[in-house]
Amino acid sequence: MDVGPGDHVCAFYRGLPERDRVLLPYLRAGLMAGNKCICVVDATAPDTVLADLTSGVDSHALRAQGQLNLMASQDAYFPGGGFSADAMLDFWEQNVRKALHDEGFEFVRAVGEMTWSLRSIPGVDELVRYEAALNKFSRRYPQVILCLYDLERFSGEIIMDMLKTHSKVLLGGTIYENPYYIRPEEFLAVLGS
Amino acid sequence: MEFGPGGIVLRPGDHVCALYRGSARRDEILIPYLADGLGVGDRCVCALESADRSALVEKLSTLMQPDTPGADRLEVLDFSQTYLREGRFSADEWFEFLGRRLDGASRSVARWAGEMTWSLQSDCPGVDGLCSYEAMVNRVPPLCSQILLCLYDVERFSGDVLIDALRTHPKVIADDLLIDNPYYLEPEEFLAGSVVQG
Repeated sequence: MDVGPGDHVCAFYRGLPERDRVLLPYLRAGLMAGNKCICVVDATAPDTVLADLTSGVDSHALRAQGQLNLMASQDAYFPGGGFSADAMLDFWEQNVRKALHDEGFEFVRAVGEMTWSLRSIPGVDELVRYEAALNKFSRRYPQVILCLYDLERFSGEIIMDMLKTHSKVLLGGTIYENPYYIRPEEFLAVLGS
Repeated sequence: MEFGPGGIVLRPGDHVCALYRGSARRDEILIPYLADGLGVGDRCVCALESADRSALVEKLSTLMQPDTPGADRLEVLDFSQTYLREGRFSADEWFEFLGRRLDGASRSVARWAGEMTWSLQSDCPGVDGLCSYEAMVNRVPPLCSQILLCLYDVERFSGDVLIDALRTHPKVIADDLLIDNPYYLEPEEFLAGSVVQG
């Protein structure tokens, strides 16, 4: 997968088997390259991902050593039952800084499965603002952020917003420079008006 | 938004997907598209969810010079006269219809504009063939001398259909821009992929 430092990538796929064809190679490549991997999943339990990751890497050991951080969506996106864009940006800030500065990793691969946002969680209306703001965050550190959107679950409206808030798109096994992307400064100004 | 010199220029053979939110935004694309076409002598045919010709002509009049001939070259049809004749959709019959309707006797270019919400009428057989129709239309020879504009209100469609629309249109209008669409797949590739996905 041709991704580089600062990339904020949106992966579109249909259903769980295709999710895993995106998620597992992404994590496996990161683990083999010595990257810190922070993975937040929603449609399955973190332990399911751990079990599916075993070929090629000792995922259990890497998790125990702290290179692989696997979390459930409720522990990251809506701890305490509500979502806040600022709190979530802070979550990434803390975790990425810790990986780079305290744990000595040189690169971070983050990935979040976004189906949690389909539930009626307080603050979920901040999702689009959050995705736009993530572009400012992603370029500040040596990292890649991958957002997982299941096309079978999300509306056209949300998918359109995701096309506008991710500079790269992963679709059908190909990474695209996304021409529908709008820079966060511009996008957030329109959103705020 | 503006069509024609200084704005968005479309050419015969273009198959364009317009993505927008809500009917007010639809008109910001559709009306200038038609006004530009009528202004340069194209025939214009639209298939709209609500085929209110006089309302459309009134909106057009704000953009067109009063002495421009053209209103007689505008046809406004509803879904039962176009995509859903006989209460169902069939791609083969549709291509035949479109060819007849747009080719006509004259040599002038014809512009089509179709609102794609007809495919949401799930009680009509065949509407699930929308995406393969959108792919195949790129290969229909008589249509290559026409301009086709497919109108997709993103508030009405699923994410799945939205991405299929991006996979089947070489050009896309979004946020007042005409974009050479990198997500477009050649019809053969798109259709092979949809069979695999089953």
